[in-house]
Amino acid sequence: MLRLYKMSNEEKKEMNFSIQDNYYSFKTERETLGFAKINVLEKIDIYIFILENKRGNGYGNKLFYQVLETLKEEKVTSFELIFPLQNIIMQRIVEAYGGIEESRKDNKIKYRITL
Amino acid sequence: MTIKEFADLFDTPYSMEELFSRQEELLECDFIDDKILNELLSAFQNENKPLIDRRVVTRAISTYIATTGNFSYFIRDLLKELLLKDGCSKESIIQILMQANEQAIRARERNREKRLVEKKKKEDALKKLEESIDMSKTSISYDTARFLIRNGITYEELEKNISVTISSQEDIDPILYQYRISDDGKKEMVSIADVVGYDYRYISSGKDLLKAFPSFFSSHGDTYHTRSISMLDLTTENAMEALRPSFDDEPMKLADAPGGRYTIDGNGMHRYSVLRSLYLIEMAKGNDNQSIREKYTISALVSRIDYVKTYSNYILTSLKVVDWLSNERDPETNQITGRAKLEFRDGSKLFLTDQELIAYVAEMLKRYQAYPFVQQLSQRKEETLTRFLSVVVPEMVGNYSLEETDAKVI
Repeated sequence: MLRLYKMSNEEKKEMNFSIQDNYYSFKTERETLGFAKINVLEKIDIYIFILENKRGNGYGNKLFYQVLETLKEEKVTSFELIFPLQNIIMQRIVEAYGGIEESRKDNKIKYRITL
Repeated sequence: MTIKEFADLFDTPYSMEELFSRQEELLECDFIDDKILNELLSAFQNENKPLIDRRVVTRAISTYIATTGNFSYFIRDLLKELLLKDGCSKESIIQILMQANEQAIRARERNREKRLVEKKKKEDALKKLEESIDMSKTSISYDTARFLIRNGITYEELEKNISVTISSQEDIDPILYQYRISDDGKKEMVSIADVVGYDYRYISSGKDLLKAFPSFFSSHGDTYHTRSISMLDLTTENAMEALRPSFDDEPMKLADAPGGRYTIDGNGMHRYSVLRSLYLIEMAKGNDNQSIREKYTISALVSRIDYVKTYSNYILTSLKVVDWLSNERDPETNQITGRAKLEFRDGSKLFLTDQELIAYVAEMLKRYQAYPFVQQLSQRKEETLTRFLSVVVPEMVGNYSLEETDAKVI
């Protein structure tokens, strides 16, 4: 079953991730498919990443779904997401989950997602 | 109109001209549609009688059932009503309907076999064509070459006769691409002839529509590439009919662009690639321009640029006056209100109508003495931008008074 597993500080150090941030590995029982950073502070800070050899199979979509579920558990009801305009795959994923494009500038695009 | 009332019509004989002129009225009957009515009228015509009365109709329907296999609720009930009016007993009506049902079954079986034979003939012919593909003589993928040859053309022939270039939103207008504010979209009929490309550049495949195919159609590779490969079996004969239900089930999403053009905007890339290719194939073969435009007209969800907000977004964020500019949305309904929402770095917000926004932009341009910037912009010679600037800073570009419609279609 595909799930997010919260990473320990040792695991974060191993991957060169900042230990200040909340990182999760996205994996089945057997293998890791990607990672997600989810910080819920004054602003929501999210980053998702699927390993290159695992792309093209819809895992980005499933990972994003898990991220949204995690945000719901943190009682987040709505948030903005800003990422590079050229990242069409992320645009598709966000729109698939009801994200509405709000604005664009300086090669960035902003969506609002309501949970 | 009930089926009984439809049958009652033929108490009076009609000529075929009279029946054709009453088509709209006849379509109001329960359980009938365009297709069935056209087939019935054709069946009546085939009887070759000057007047169509109840007997002619009954005979025509019996022949129709035996040839097409159509024994739908409407046909069955109409036949029953006609037989009742003719004075047939209940027992003989049951017998006649049972015989008609058996004839319909046999007709459907015959037609099915005929269709399978024709389908196999076509497939065999296409297989022979596919075997003739010489990959050493082409610069496209095998899947693409196969798709083209099944439509009676090679890449080299197509490219010689017609442009296969696609344009991204960024190619058409980088400012509109990067600063676009648009509406939420509504369903419109659009011809594939006017849809010129995708929402982003295919850096790996250049700007050639057919050479871009392997980026998302491949019989090998991951699920993203293999999932739509069956679309490359479509031909100019069957593509529109095969894809038509999908236009309602999962509408293609388009974004408009200046000059009456559109690009794909979020959904429909695979379908567009196939349909655009088929459209170009038909054009390259010299088929009639207008009828091909109409043939490849689809229902799509089109989002339209709000030029006032888009250009205001460009100017105000370039001047770093605002952090973000977007459509204001009603908090209850989430619908666009028509006003712009300006967000500033300190977290404050301002909501402006289009008229107020234009005045705000003009004021900021003056405050930041940004006229050299305006001059640079007006030299770009894009009509929508020139018109916007002529409304905002007419003293720089020329006088133009803003009417209500212009705010949206500037």
